[in-house]
Amino acid sequence: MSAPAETVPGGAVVSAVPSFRARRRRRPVLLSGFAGAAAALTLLPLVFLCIQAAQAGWSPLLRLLFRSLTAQLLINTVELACCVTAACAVIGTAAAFAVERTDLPLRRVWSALIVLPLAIPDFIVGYTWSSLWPALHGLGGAVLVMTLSLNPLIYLPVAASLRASDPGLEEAARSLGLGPIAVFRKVTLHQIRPALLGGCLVVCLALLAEYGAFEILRFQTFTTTIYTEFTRAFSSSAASALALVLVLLGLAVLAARHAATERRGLAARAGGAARRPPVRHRLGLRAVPVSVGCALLAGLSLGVPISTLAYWLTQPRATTLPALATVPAAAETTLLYALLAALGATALALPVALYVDRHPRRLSRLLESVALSVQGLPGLVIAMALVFFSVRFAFAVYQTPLLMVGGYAILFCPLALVCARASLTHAPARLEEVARSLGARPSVALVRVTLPLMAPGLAAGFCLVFLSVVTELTATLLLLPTGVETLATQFWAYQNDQSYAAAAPYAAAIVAIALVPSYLLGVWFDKRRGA
Amino acid sequence: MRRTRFLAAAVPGLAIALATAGCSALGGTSPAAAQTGITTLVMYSGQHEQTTDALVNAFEKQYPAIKITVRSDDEGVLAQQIEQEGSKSPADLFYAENSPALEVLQEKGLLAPAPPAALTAIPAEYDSPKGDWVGITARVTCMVVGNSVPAGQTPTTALSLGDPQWKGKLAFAGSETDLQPMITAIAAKYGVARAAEWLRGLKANAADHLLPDNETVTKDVDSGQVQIGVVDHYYWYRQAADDGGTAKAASRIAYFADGDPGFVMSVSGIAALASSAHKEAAGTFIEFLASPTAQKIIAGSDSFEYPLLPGIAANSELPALSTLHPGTVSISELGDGSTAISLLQQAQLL
Repeated sequence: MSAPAETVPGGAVVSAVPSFRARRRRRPVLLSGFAGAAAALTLLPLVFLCIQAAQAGWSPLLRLLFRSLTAQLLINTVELACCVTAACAVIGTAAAFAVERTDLPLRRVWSALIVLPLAIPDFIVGYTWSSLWPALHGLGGAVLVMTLSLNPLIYLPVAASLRASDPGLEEAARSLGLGPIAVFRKVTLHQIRPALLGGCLVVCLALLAEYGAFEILRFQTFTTTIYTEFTRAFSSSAASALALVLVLLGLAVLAARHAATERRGLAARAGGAARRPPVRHRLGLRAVPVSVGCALLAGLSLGVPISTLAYWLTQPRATTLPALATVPAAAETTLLYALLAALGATALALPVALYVDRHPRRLSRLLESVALSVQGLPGLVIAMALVFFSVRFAFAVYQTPLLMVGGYAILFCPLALVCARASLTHAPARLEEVARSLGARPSVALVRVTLPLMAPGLAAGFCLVFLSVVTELTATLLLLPTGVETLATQFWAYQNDQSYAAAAPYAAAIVAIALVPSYLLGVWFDKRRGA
Repeated sequence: MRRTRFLAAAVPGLAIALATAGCSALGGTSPAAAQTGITTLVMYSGQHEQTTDALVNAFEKQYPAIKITVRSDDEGVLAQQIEQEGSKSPADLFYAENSPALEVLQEKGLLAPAPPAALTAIPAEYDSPKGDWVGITARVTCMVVGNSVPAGQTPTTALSLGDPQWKGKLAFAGSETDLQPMITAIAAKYGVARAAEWLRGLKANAADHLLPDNETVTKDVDSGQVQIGVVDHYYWYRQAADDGGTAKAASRIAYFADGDPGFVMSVSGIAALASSAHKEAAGTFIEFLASPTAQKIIAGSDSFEYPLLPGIAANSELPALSTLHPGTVSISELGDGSTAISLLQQAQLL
């Protein structure tokens, strides 16, 4: 699927020239209509939060917000986000550099092993660690567990960017007398900067929304407290007020990313015209510690949860709780929902990505930022918003598969959006204009030129959403049609009853299903040229 | 290019084909609803899944014309969901873990009056004072104490758990709904200010052991990480059953002194929703839960809760309900739990 991407040398260079876009003043009605509708859907959770907060009135909300608990949550959340993002950035970049720029043996194997932890749901990773090491909780535990499960999100884009960047620059710098560290700092880091920042953004937003792992590791963040307020205080207004703070945090992360890319963004894209395999650093004996490091990373992030699962699978099933759905039946349901949701999220993201890329105005950028910041909201809030709106305005779809698929699509649309936006660097507006100047109608130009060029990126987004749906729990419990069971809800039912041996087959099936898209994602980033 | 175009057409095509084929897997149609002469009830349940399932099966066997579909989630989420759904709620029944969840919905007028037969069968002190829900099972607050603590040295009143002598030795889960009745009872007896002070002491004593749920509290006491945990009694019995029996446990249960305000019996109940189109069938299920058949299933199950129908003995592992003498706080004093919630929020525990 990546074949068409290779036909556009220097796509990044073209997109750096703004004059072609600036000339296109005519507003495409259909595209902006679709983009507007999609953006409106992703904004529903925000509207819901504002309505709930407004209903409660200002004074109780201010009392709930301005107290020491909020300050503590803010400290916890920011500390966690900084530590994990920094740790992931270092580990992910180091691993990517070792795989892409050195002669490390078994590079392909390491690459696959580093990516596969994406397939293991956070609640399984969290449980594994806390059962192996009961004293592991608080900030330290949360940083360890989240770093292990999120570092592939940095590794993937950075490795792709290293692969795509022009090694000639590094070689020139070396020939001018710079040492290896100076070359990395002055040249390589500069080239991978956009990819690294993009990865950091996704990691930060994932941390803001994380619930399952922190609940198990006893680490209080905004998201765990929002959940508690919703369930324990029977108060959606207190939870909504806290969730609005979370949205602001998400926007702050986006603004920070934006500021960092704006400052030096274009220079980093200079490479791309002449691409050839890099001269790899010879590791020699240093290959041993580097291999040990990779093995340690893979062992901790993949080996530990998988061996715990294997242990559960061999334990006798003590529970008398009858299964509501067999593993194959629950797997079929999960698979179907994941496929449909991935399609839905891609369909939502595509018009927004096209619109923002082709018509970069302040309004469209703002819409994109807000849509992305929703990724930082917990699934429970988004699901509650959909319950609120569907009960009032679309009761016919309430507790039907349609609403569940729509819920997943909104929840994970930001992931598809990030991938679609990245893939548009391969499909510059100029190519579409050439097609139109040759007589193709806009829709034909879109279908025959732009979409095929975007296809690999859209496919990557599809895989990422698929993966996230398979491992999602809180929104699923709330929106699933009554009487239907997915792998995650069955795992939850047994785990609630402390029957881990009975829960294990469902967890194993989740991991097995999620391995396919994780592997495909790894392959896609592996083949990707120009990021 | 051709391959891409093929894929672009094939992927959505395949998904739609799969979706049509797998409509039942997605939950598009309910086969039970199609059968004539059968009423299908939807029950939102926050109760122990295993016992609920056994109860529903026994009911369907006794009343073949009624089927019950269960939607399980946290009781707080379900109460929120019912509130959002309002008059359009698909649910006919709500089976809650604790009375405040039911009281919240009752105050908002979302519950239908309970069947009189069930209200009569279960003693009035365990039912809704207003008559919209019926108590089905009960649990009492207690301490789980590690075997390292000598028998004579366990605290006897809940109030004394806030004393500095228990610093670093106490564990509890502030976000569990099970803690709220105890806080409400303390506030009702000693006043809100004293309760707030007590809760601050409790929090300071448990600073290193503020845990996410009662299962973890029980587990941590049993593994010796902390000496005393505050939970409802059944958590200890359920864990002991999972770990091979009460005799093997490295911890024990200690009840508070007879009549201590912190010694609270709280009730788990069921209600029909005011919006239900099948109130009669829903009432039949409520009456069934209050009947000897259902109460015996509860007594024999692994949920280790007390059945509330007089004359039905609890699980033989448990001390008889008549030998326990909890404090005198009533269901209506426990109310919707808002006093406890605001105290928990003041203490920054919620």
